[in-house]
Amino acid sequence: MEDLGRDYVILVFLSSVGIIQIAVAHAGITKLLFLKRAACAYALGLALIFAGFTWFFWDGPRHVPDTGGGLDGNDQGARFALSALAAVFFTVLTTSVLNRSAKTNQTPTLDGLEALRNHTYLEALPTGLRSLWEERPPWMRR
Amino acid sequence: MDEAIVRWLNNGVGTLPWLDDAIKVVVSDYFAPVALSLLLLGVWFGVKTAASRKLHQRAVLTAMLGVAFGNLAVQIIGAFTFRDRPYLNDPLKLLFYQPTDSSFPANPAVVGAAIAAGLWGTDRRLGSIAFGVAALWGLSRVYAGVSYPTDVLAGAAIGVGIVMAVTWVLRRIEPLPTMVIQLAQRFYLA
Repeated sequence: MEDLGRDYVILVFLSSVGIIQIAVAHAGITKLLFLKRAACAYALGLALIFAGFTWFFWDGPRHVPDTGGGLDGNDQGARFALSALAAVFFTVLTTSVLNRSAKTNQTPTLDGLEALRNHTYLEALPTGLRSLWEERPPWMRR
Repeated sequence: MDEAIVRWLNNGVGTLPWLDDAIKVVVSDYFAPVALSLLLLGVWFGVKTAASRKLHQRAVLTAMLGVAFGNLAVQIIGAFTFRDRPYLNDPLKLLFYQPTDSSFPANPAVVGAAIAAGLWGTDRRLGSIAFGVAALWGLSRVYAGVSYPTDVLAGAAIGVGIVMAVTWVLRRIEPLPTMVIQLAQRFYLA
């Protein structure tokens, strides 16, 4: 059970990092790329997805009933959500370090992922948080 | 009719060992759900324009809620009905473990159809890909001897129906869904 749960988390984490690389390369969100060239990002993404699935299914199809140590639907859902979220944060934090650039005077826009074409996640985040604070509802302003 | 189709499909087990090995992976509890969920994650991040991204992210939200409520529907239906698995009524060659819950409706079909229908509403191409994966998953369940075709069809209908209901509700509770996406945008995650 523990092995299966651990392997599932690794499968989801690796393949999530991979699919995010493919997706942001396709969308042109360059500051979320580990590698500057889109073709390399596609290759890295595919490799990570392949590695995740190969890791998980290497010993066979993993047919374990949830009554016998397998993961039930809720367990799978929770593990997927946490692992995918971990993959997202791993991506945004790592690419913030890899793609950091000299400070510019240009303020990141508030249109979410669009801003990450020109700014890294950690460069943009303070702007978003500041705007949330400034636009907080009246009952929070006391 | 239902049993005849299962017997006919399951008859093929053992003929092509490589096909059986592939089906064993496809029918697994982990392959198709992870593949379809990765598709949703890819759609969340992978759209080129801001306007289109909002629509696609809304589709992802719809699909996720469809899966959640689809699972709930299966639990509720399972509390009132029970159908034996095909392998209990026929000597089939199983390619899967022996599930003990009700055969009807097929939960994998509900999940697959909910994700596919959620995407289909916004993007026909991605929806078709997801429906393809969901169909393959459902068919593999029948081939493996653990579901009847009507279990899969009913599950798919439930999945699609739930997504239609979720879509309707999300329109009714607007601007809440838009606010969720806008909040994620402020954290630069949408």
